[in-house]
Amino acid sequence: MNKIIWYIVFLCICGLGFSITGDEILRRVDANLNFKNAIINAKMEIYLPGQQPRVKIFRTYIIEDQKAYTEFLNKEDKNIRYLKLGKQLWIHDKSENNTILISGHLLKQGMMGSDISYEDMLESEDLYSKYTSSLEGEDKIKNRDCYIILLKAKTDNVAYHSRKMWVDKEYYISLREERFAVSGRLLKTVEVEDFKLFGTRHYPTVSVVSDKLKANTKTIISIQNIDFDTSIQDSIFTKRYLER
Amino acid sequence: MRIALIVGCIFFSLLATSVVFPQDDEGLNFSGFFRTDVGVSWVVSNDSLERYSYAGRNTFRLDFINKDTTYGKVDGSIDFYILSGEKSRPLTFQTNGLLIGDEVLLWFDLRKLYLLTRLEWMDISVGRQLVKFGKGFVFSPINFFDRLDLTDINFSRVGVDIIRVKIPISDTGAFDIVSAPKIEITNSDVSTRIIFSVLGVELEGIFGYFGKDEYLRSGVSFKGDIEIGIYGEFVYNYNEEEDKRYYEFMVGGDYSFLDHFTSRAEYYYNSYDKDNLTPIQSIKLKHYPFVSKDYILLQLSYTPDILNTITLSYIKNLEKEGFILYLEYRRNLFQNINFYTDVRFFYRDISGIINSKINNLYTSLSFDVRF
Repeated sequence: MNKIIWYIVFLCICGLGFSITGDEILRRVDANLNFKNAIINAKMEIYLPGQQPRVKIFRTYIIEDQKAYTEFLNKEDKNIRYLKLGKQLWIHDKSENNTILISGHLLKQGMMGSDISYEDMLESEDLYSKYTSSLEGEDKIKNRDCYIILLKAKTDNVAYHSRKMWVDKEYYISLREERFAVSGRLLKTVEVEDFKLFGTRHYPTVSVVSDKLKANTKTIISIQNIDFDTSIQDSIFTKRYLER
Repeated sequence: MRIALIVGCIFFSLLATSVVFPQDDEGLNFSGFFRTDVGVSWVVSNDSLERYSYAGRNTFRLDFINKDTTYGKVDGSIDFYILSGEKSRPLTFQTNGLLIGDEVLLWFDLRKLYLLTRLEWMDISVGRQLVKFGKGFVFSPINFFDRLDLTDINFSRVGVDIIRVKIPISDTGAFDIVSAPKIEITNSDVSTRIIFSVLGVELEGIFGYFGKDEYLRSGVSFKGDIEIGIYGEFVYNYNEEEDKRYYEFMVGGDYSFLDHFTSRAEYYYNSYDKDNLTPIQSIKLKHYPFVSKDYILLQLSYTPDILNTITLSYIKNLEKEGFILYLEYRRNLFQNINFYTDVRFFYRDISGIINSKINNLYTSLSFDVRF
């Protein structure tokens, strides 16, 4: 009898030891996505029905989730630059020497016509501090074993009220994500097509973002190169640099 | 002819520079566009189209900037035009054009060409520059140095010849001193500006002297959010003669809705007493073309996707009869090729100076290729 009891206790301990909670998964996802600073060179391809993709190339400098500077390098948009400081976003049009503080309501619109909103760009990747999470089950995405976790916003100060994530069991990358409004309406999907190992972290290098409020559109973000935790001069995150 | 030769020399010097310094960090970066417009203009009187005329314009814009701007920059933008028909008529007697035949005019506009030196704690720039003070989109009384060109559907501004010293005071703040010097030093314009951001609101203050009319100008502007974006400007113009003192203000707001619509409204008021002015004196006013007491701008844009944009703009003189209506459709055909069509209706004189009953309707088709 004692043996049976000890066997049950052992199974319970093993179960506690190896089961994982939604919060733990989210923390590991955050650990992959969060960085102190980074310099990213990327390509954005915007797809519309029956059209050749519109291609935009940009370089972004980021310090944590507070500061970002982006400049476009393709010839059609090379006059456009963005500066994000906290929750504020300035756009500079070099051709007209004009800098505009973007109004809050415009932050929901697609950046440069893409499926990625300015709000997406401004939002911190530190999901754990903003969402509660629960493990909803398991699934396979592209033959990879995934946890399904459901995120619910802790505050109203977020772009999406809830999110559903399919997180790779081995690398803790969200391979698929659905983002919802308060009403439960699906607003956006994000699918990671490829990711790479950078030092100790896995990071998405090709992502497909689709704004479900638009008809049959998608934007593919391909990271061409990325330097994590490199030295970036603070002077880049100033209006002086934006208007240089 | 001499002007055309000078412009040609500048153009080929720039091209030669880019060839001589092809390395990544040396020489100049070139960009710009070629745009062709074909338009028809009608005189509208007694609710009928009475007289029409052809208006054509080809524009070649060349922007250039040195590649390494770490310590300074040369920033330029020149528009070269071939104007024909109605487009060439008002410019025929200007000196920076070259008439070819009866109606075709070669023309250029130096939008900006200036040198900027970047010191450790300030930037000094000299030459023709685009200066934008204030937050107003169309009405911007705080904008000291240039005027709005209402014939341009994009409400772009023209370059001014100035000396500018800009001192950063924080990541988002700066102190500016801008001067447009004249031969008679007392005729010069000079303005100081401070701009900074606090609690999500961008604030700006100016204090300046407008030499020719001997005005001291001081003003403030703000931009912030209360669900809708709101912004405003107030300027007081002080003159020694009491009856010439006046103030101006504008308030504006913008809001986007239903995912694809963006709206904007602006109201402008000035208290200038213009009753005894001649039309020529009125045109010389600093707040021209908004000479009447008050005006309103209403604008609605519909952007269903990255390819298509429709914009309707309406500017109304609230004191006198007169309005302008613009309707523009823009289509991105390919990565770097755009198509535009627009209709512009000028009902009487928006400035309120001339009591004319002649109206004008203009419509055009355009393409541009960016490089």
